[in-house]
Amino acid sequence: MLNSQFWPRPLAWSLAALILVAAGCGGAGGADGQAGFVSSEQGHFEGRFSPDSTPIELQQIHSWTLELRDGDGAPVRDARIAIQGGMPAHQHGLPTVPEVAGEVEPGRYRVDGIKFSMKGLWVFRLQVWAGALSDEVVWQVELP
Amino acid sequence: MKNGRRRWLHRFVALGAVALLGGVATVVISSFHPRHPHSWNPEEVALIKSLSLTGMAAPEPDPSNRVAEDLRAVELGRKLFFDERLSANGEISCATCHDPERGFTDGRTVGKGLAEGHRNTPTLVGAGFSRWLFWDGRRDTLWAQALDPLEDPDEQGTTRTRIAQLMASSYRSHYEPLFGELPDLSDTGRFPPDAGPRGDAEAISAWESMAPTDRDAVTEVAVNAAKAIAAFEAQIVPGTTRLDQYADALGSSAEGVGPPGILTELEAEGLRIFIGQGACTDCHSGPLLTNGDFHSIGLPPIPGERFDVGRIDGAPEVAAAEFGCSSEHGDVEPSRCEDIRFLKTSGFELVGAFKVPSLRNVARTAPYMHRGQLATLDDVVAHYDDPPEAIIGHTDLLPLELSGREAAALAAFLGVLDAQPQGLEIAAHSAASTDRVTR
Repeated sequence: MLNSQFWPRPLAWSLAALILVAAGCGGAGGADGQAGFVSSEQGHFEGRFSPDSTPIELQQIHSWTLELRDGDGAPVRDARIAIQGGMPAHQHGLPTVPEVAGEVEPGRYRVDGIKFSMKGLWVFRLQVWAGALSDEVVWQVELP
Repeated sequence: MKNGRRRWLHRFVALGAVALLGGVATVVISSFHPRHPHSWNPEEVALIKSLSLTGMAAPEPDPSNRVAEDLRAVELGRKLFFDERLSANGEISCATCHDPERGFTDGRTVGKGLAEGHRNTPTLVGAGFSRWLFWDGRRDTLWAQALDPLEDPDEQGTTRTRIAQLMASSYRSHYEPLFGELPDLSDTGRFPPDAGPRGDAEAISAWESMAPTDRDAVTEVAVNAAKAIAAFEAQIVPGTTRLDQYADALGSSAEGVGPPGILTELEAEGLRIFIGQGACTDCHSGPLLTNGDFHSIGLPPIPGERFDVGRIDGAPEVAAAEFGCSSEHGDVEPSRCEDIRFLKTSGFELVGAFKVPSLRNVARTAPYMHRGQLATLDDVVAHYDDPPEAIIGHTDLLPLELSGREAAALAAFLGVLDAQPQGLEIAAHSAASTDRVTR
């Protein structure tokens, strides 16, 4: 059994709260990636993060797509994105260092190098900088 | 009207109390009447079946090894695996530490070749499935791993030119159809008998005095020898265990009731802990009973020894290694070596983290952990049951709080994971035959 010291406790609680907020704002991502957009933490963007192929296989490196739009539904273009993530309950981060491969369509960013080593709840924190705005999209994935 | 309301209120409260008592009674009764050891709910059935070898594909051929599937390479690799001439003293082969009779391990706390090493010898069973090699994952292909002990001064301690010369003198007829013509090594001025980058000072000096093109030619021969060894090693795969039989039969039985006569009640209880309270399948998942990743379980430092930091050193080393998937010796476009491309080299959770070993054949690979710290499976269960605080780094473990019977059940279940490895007959044949070459 694994403990939860990966993120410092206040941060873990904040993260849990963020997840709940995210879940309340249109549903967090499921393993099949069919959930809707979620609002970023400060409300500057809406994001949806989904795997390029399903079902998600453990131990396989694969690509995901982050879709970003603004409050009017227009694609967020030319964004810079940084990815963090891990399993809060198991106190470890992602097993790989994913890369943003580029903006494949307006507002759609491909992320390569995602891998999951365990079943359970994974949380991504996607830092987004676009124009004068920066914000964070929190996305959770439950692998059953 | 007031009385009517009160009556309803009383009835409501009474109903609530009855419901509450009923719930409590259910919990109490169920806690005193545990489920039948062989009864599983659908989620448990799915989890148990996910551990079965049945339906698991063979190891995908290593794309960085162009002879990985060539049976001629398997045959050459088999001979090399048992060839004690591939050592400085002519007495140590790969099989010295990876003994087929001991589950391809050596039964020692740490490996011993020319000198005593620092880590426990891992099994080779299922090595062809491994994404990372060595306890710290400092190599990413089986062939790169196989070459390392040959040159390691504490293990076989031979030199690169000596490997190439042995291929020329004893294995030419096996080598050349696979890899093409061997270089002419007869000029001992150009090709000193003992020259290599990891030998003693004399061997290193001899190596550095060689022409770069000659060094490259020798290195290519040594790499090809290692690719043949890897082709053989990838043939050694786990055999069908009682867990596999149980999991496979579970699918055809009614309502998730386990088949009789395969697992004892104690072993079935252990299985329940393995997939449930013990959370063992968090890491020991899938048919190989490993997620192939790196985790710290807070093993304490050994007094008088430098703390082994594991993956935090292994990750940068694999990225910089002379041999590996994305190196010039890998038979694949480096961009296809995704494990290296997206390699994680930092993060506090890598400190003291080691590769999660497969649990197949675990009963025959004692002692356990990267340093052989734990002598028996009972010791292993005790560590997970009451894990110490990590002295350095962190531990992924939380106490399991097992009863004595539960701990015994979990240890008993680990014994279920035993089977004669497939591919062993190849090895046994070799050990018994005249192919076992000595100087």
